[in-house]
Amino acid sequence: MSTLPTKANSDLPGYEKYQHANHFRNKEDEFDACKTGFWLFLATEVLLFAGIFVWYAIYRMMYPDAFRIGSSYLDWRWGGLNTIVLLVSSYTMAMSIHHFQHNRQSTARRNLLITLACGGIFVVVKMLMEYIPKMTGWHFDLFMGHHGVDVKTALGGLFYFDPSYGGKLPGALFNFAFATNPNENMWWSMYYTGTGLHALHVLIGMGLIFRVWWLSRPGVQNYGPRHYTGVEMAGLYWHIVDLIWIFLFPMLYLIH
Amino acid sequence: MSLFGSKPLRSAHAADPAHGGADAAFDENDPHHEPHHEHVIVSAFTNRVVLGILLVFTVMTVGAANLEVWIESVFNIHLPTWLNVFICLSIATIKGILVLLYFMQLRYDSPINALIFCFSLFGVALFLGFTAIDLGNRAKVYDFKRGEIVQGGNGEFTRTVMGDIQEGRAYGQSMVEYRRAQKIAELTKEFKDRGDPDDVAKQKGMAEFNRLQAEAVEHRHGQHQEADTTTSSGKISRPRTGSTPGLFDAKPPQTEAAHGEH
Repeated sequence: MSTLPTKANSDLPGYEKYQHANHFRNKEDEFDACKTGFWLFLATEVLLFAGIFVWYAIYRMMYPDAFRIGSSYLDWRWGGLNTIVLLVSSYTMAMSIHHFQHNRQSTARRNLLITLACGGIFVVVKMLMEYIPKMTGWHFDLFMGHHGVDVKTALGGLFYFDPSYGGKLPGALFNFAFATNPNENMWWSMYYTGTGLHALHVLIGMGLIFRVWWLSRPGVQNYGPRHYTGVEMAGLYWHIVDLIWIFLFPMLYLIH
Repeated sequence: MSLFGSKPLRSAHAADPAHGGADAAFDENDPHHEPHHEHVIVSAFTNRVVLGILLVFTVMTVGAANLEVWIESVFNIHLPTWLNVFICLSIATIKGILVLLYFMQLRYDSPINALIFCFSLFGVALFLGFTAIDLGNRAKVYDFKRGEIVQGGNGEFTRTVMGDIQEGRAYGQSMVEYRRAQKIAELTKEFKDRGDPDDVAKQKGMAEFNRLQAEAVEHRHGQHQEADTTTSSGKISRPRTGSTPGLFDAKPPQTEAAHGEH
């Protein structure tokens, strides 16, 4: 529980002032209980995504062609980039905990920032390179390439429109006219639900990491060798997000 | 003893002789003298090695998937589908175990946490296994129930409910077919608006649709641009699997849509 700052302890960093809750024997017990509780939550997360995996498996068995064609619209290069980005961010998160344990505050916070940046890259790639083109047909072109005369562009060539690409939307919104299999829209429903739920988890994880970063700012320093429960839990959450992507990536992009 | 008191629980107990506070050898906070669980600090080197292995496996899984496509196209053979699934998911499983053991520190953790996680995996297996068994055997019992699921409808129907005429969704046509016909109609209308006579506009609209359709198919990546690897040819005989409708239809889908126009 929180301790009110007194003259004696007010200049100590937050992790030194931390006192465990009354109903725990000691700080270690509190940490272990917290971690086990968090693992229980992670188990429910796995079961949540299990629904999506079962959806994938069953529909792929029933409609192999629709899923193969659907999968072929995804570019493994963007999926691969996002995989690498998430793996690196998992590493920096683990290193952040490592540095907090050694009380290297600024290095730990730098690792947190890299983790946040990687999460940001993941979401931006997902939106700009995957969701927006597939949904609307507007492609992002960083190099503002030279498009044909009759190609619609926006923002000075930063986006260009492909009339044969857009409309791959989930569920009842499906609006893609050039599907070659009557069940292709089922693939897109599954794709958006799976990756969208995962992207939501990335955003929540980024929120947790930002909280850790904010609470470890100089002058507050809530996390250190004697107390780092919050970092550990944010890390576990971030790793499960990575773990789920490790399975989603081959399922969506590589299996054909 | 008050849970809401400002004093920590232990001092409240220690002051009370009835709770053993007078006994110096008895520690109220640690009655069983359990050894405290030490926190493990995973070394930077371990983390780096794990990251390296994970990246190598990522390259391997992408490489394996693309290699398989390359082999199929170059040697004109059809590799069994399970091979691709098996390789991809095996590598993913190895990567997942590495993340769990080292990044999530299950290796150094209390075994109860690993047990909890294994329980969730048991749940996944249960869900998958029983649905698969159901799916695999449903046709044997209820042949008539095996009908394919088609999402969609053309969004138009009229019905009367308690005297009110309501409009809603009909389920005669799949969404894919409906959207295709709609697009062709749109394109035809465009040409009509430019002053083409009906039949010419129709032809031009269909031609424009086919052009866009060919473009859309070109957007597919890698493996699927190759020559048809699903159906048998004079050279090679390939097994057919799955129950996807339309797979063995003689007519290409475009022709169907054109017929559906009138």
